[in-house]
Amino acid sequence: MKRLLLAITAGALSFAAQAQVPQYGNSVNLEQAKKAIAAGQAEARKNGWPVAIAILDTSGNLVAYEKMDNTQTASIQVAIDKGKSAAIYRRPTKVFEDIVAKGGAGLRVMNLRDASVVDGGLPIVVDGKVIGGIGVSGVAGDQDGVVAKAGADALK
Amino acid sequence: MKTRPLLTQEDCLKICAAAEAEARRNKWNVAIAILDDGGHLLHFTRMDGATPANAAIALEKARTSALSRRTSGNWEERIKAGRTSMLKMPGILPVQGGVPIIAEGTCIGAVGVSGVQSHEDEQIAQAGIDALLGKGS
Repeated sequence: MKRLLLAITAGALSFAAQAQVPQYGNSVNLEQAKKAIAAGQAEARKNGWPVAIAILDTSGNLVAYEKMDNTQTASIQVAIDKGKSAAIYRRPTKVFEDIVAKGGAGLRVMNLRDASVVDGGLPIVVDGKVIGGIGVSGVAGDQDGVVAKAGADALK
Repeated sequence: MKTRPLLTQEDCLKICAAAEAEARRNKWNVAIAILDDGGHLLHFTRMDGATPANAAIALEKARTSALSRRTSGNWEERIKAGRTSMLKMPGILPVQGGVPIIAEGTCIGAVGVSGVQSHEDEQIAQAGIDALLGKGS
């Protein structure tokens, strides 16, 4: 009886711990990916920002991508890197950026595999589940973040 | 000074829409990558049902064609004909499905497709390029 109670308590605890981080859902489909890119681009165009936008599935594989004219060449890969980081770590790249900015032990984040530490990558969350990531690059990091948010929000 | 044509975002949308339509018409699920002549990604689409492997393969086929200025199928043929040493060429994926975009005699980029049989992949890539440059381009 005592053992059973313990098991139940442990189960409840691990469930509570799991509930704190969003869980993965079905990966983003092409229709959703195109919608997110269109919304992100509308925001970018409104501000006159040339950017590249990448949408990745829950495993960090490319689903859709589009580069606006006059986007700097480096942003092609950076956009994909940010989207991948957001998808596979299930958190915005801004979270890592802030951790690194505080210095000290937080600097270890820069050594995490495939982690991007620059604002502009967001997990795409639909109905509380992470279905992929969106990565944006081309302007200042916080501006990339604005475009990424517009894209991710379009699927809410 | 020499000038040359440049692929715009609008061109990429045109290419991708036609390629996707060709794939859908045949009920094929594929990944379609469009690169510029430096091998930089301009546009990418992975249709539902196409695998993560297709995503990587489409990119590599396109890169092969963009940088070598010939179809990836051309590389495949040369190897099939016996030049197996070509397998060691850097950055070359010798599998049909990558087609260079030649405008005004210059390679301005390439389309790479992966998801079905490789001659069908090439058919899709060519349909995309035809939409931009006209048939028989």
